[in-house]
Amino acid sequence: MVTIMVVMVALLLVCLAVIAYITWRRPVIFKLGVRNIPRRKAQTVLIVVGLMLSTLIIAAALGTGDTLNRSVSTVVYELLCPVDELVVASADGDGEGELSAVITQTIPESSIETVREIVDDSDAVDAVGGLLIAFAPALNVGDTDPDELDSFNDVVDTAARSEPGVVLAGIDPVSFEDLGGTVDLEGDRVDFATFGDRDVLLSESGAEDLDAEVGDTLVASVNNTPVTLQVAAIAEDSVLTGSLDSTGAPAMAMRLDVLQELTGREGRLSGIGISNVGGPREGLERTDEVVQLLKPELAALGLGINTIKQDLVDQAEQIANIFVTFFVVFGLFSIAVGILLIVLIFTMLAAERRSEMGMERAVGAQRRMLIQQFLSEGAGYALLAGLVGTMLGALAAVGIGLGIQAAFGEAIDISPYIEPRSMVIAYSPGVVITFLAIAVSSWRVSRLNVVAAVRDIPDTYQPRKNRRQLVWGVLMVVVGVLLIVAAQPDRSLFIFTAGMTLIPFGIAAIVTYFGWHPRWVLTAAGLCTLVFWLLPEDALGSIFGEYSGNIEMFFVSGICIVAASTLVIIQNFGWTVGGVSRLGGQAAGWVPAIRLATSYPSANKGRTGMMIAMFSLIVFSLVVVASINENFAAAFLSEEATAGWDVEVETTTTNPVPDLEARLEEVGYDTSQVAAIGTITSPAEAASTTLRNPDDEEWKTSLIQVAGQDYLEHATLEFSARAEGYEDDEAIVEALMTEPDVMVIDTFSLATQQEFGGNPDMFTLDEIEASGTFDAPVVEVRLPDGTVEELRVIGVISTSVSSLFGTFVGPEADDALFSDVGEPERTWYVELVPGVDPSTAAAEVERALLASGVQAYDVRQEMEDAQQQQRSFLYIMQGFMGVGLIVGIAAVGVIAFRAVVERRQQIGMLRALGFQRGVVARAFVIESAVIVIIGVLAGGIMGLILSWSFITGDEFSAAGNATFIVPWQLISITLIAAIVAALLMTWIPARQASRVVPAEALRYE
Amino acid sequence: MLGRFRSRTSKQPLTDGDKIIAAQDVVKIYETGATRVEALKEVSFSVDRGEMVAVMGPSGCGKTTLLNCLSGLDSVTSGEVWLDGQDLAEMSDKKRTDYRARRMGFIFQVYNLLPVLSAVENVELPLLVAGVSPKEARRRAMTALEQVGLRDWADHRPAELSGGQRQRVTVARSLVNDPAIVWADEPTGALDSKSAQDIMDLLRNLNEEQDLTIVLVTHDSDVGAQAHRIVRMQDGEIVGEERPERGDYVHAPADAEVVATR
Repeated sequence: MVTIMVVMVALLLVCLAVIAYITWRRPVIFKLGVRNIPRRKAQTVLIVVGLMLSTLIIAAALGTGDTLNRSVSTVVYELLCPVDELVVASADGDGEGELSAVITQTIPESSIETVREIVDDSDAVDAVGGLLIAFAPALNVGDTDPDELDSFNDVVDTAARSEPGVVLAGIDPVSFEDLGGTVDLEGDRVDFATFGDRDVLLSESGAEDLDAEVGDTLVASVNNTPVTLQVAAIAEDSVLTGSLDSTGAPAMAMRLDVLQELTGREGRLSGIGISNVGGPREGLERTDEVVQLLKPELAALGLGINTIKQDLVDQAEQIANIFVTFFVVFGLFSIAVGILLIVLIFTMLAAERRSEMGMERAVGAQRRMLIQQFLSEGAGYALLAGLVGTMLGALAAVGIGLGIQAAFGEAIDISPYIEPRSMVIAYSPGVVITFLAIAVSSWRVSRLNVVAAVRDIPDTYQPRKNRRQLVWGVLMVVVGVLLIVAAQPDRSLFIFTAGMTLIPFGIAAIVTYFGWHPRWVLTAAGLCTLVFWLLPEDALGSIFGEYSGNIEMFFVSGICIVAASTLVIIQNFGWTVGGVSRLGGQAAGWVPAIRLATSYPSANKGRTGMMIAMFSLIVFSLVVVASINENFAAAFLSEEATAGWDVEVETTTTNPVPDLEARLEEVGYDTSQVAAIGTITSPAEAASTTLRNPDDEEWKTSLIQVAGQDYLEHATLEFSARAEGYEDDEAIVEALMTEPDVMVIDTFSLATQQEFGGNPDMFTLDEIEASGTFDAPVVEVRLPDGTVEELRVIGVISTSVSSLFGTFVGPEADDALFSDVGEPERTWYVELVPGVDPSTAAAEVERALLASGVQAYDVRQEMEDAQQQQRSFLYIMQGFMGVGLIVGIAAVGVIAFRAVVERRQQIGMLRALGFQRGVVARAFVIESAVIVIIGVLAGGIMGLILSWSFITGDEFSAAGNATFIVPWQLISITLIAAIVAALLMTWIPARQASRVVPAEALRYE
Repeated sequence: MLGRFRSRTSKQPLTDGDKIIAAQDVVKIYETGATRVEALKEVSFSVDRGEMVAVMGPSGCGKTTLLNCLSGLDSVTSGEVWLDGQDLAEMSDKKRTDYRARRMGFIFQVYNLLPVLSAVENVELPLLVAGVSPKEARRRAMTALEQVGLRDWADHRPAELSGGQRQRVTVARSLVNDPAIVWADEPTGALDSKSAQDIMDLLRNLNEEQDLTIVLVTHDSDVGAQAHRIVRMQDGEIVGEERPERGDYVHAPADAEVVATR
């Protein structure tokens, strides 16, 4: 970030130095430029609005990143307080520990003394404290006397509030104080040492969920036994109240010895918290030092150190970076539109001042002086626009932050925060981009015929055929070929596609030099480029081989596709609008207006092309995002998504439910509405089990889950790819039930599906594609005791079964791999008889088994809720991208205003010839409409084709979603909104045009 | 002002079977902030059907203003303008525009062709706006172009034509709707002498053969000499009239002519 800032600021300084040079060496030129700024205030406002876009987008993206980073990391700091690292059980022998071990495994309480001894002489650690974690359901019975309660179920009716999964944290008072202690919600220090056997420190989230106050009686069920507890104090969520994550899950802390006794884990701890020297934020800097100190010592003890705070802070930054990347990549489309607008504005400004510029050239101004004049003026606009854009971008970031809060508010508390550094970074490229765009457009407009400019008559400049064109053509072909060659070692998609795109245009330049008609040649080059970019990925792969690219390829493909389609449209504009003319010819009164409306854009191809490209780009990006969103949602929420299950019942190891049906019957639940029950378990050892491809050196994590016999018998499973020898889905399921060395994985565990990067610590299987058949690869599985087993992957779970994530084995493999030590994490799946509402059934099961602390969900509803969150994020993204559409619409207005000024005399002539006011106005409106409609349609069609290629490609169709869903709603809204807004923007200049007095317009003296 | 003008329009028509254009006491005042310019000072003027009249005078004398006011392109401050039995002041903007489309043709100094349309498309514009079917409009536009000798240039855009050719296209456009009156404002002003003569020959032929009424504004005494009548203006007033012998060109600079008239 610092490097980027330095580079950006350096570039900004270069731009400013150029302006300083002009001011110093040619003050007159500088004045000529700058004094144009206040000349037309309304125009200046429009220009500033157009120019600020790049800055706005970058500022909004970075501001959003800051907000997320700050929000997530603040939660981490507040949650973990002084705890920087955790010491947990680890059988790897490498001294590193997994966070999940805190929940799944325990370590001897004596370990705390060992750790204290190790860090005793260290000046990096200032405190050590042990804690035990358990989960239990809890009820708030208010002021009911617990002695009157016979059993846990008796209190259900009297419970004010109940929560099925509350974290119980056991902490010894010394550790509590060593780790800094805490204050209650009133700000008074919590005296944990005075807590009695049944006193608990309730987390703020726990108090909210249980509607509890200090003094209330809580009843928890531990090992299926009711335990009455008293709320002694309530404090903000933190590790000292038992809150281990930021999800706001209810938690409470109690004396360690009490919890050990209740859970039957005497002398055991879940982990040891280590507090580094320094405050919650500063202490983090010593993490490496502490890890170096502890790692070797812990390895020998079967313990490992987990850098919990560092990991979570890194995770916060990663989340923020992902958001920034997404926003910047999607924002690039709007930035591109903004750049087109800058070029358009300055080209039009130059056209307006053509006679002035001609006069300047006539009295001896060099071309470079005209460029300098425009640069001076442009720098004024850019600096101002950068400032406005940065401020509005910061505001947009706040808005996006609030949007994310609305979408993900349950998971995390988002509070807007913007780093000044980010605003500097946003300001600099915004100004630099504007400056460069102005420089290029000034250079273009400075090429004028002095006489024609002074007399303000059309330039009769005809481009001549010259050798430079031939040289450029050859150069493009050569560079294109070199790029293709350069792409081979890394199989870089970006470099390969850049080469492939350059070649047709190089050939076009060459053949037009030799006299071929440019229209046909450029059309052919454009079509070739389109075909290449729109080829389905599998077709592209089979022709050119596999290449890998990142998310920026979305932007690159968008730019290339839109540029090529715009080129084809513009080269054949007469044909394109011929239909409109013919259609208009049916209504006699419309013929003259349509003739005019289509003739001007045909004659002014550069301007028309830029306008079409602006709308195409934005609509393209919106349609692609919406299409992929819709199709993913459809795939994830398909009929197969739930694998045939209606209700998911999560249980805890504290209150295990080894047989759901029996337990339900026991508590009197009507099991006649249950059609089938299945279970997926995660054995205790699975948390510390690692996997790798046989050729790899490094072991990676991947939680192996065990699908029980009952689950496999009743689930509806689909596999998108199968190993040779397994003819259908049933064969794979049968193998899972009977063979001890087979496993299946989801598509996200395939290396081929990690195009846009993934978690490098997670196991991914090499070589297998998401569809088709394959030779069953062997995966090495290392168990906690160090033994290595081999499993064959025999199937890839279809993405359509989106309720299943990860790696799965059957009961036979479970027996072969894992011992029965420890209670496994168990999730039950229930299939209901037809007609039973899953949401109601889930609520009933949860209530019936409250004593066991189960959490039951309507599977489909859960998935839909998750999808809804994802959609909300994409809607925010689409809104962000829609900013570009607003700019496009503003551009329509700018151009229409300019056209009225430019064509004033012609309008006068038309009125003299008998054109009614309405016909003149109509011509302007139709002209804008034609451009906008062509742009929107081109972008929409290209976006749909690309999305179709992607969705129906091998990889995505592996999800069983071969049909392509068109987001008609979004396309219709975009089309209608763009056209209506563009027409409204044109209406004012069109009215202006219609009111031109012919005699005044025709005056040419 | 307008009220005063309207109060006088309920009178007898100023035009009759012989007169196609008649103006009486026409005043045109331009007011721009504190500046007040009286461009036409109670001008009275008429044109006979089939007559070719040249309005001449120095720059700023009000020639073009008179043409604009007579043709209905501009409103008058006071006075009456009658065209072919119709009072211009009584006509709405829509009706006046429609009248121009059906009964008038215009030729301007700087051609005023639409650069984005081909020659034939420019010529057929008045027909399309008058509601003629595109097919018929194209046929008549081609005939008009043939009349001015540009049939082979029909598909060329103005930028591809010479100045003389462009002005011929303008002439063709002014004729295509079979107008009663053609207004020409400095029709040869931007042309070399050869092209100017070609255009004037064309206009004269049209005037003679088709009995077309032509009112032209010009600086050029050679051009004026080809009209039936020259109306001389100075400072917004008509200061004299003369009837040259057509074809008897006076090769004297316009300024000398003005001095002579004074």
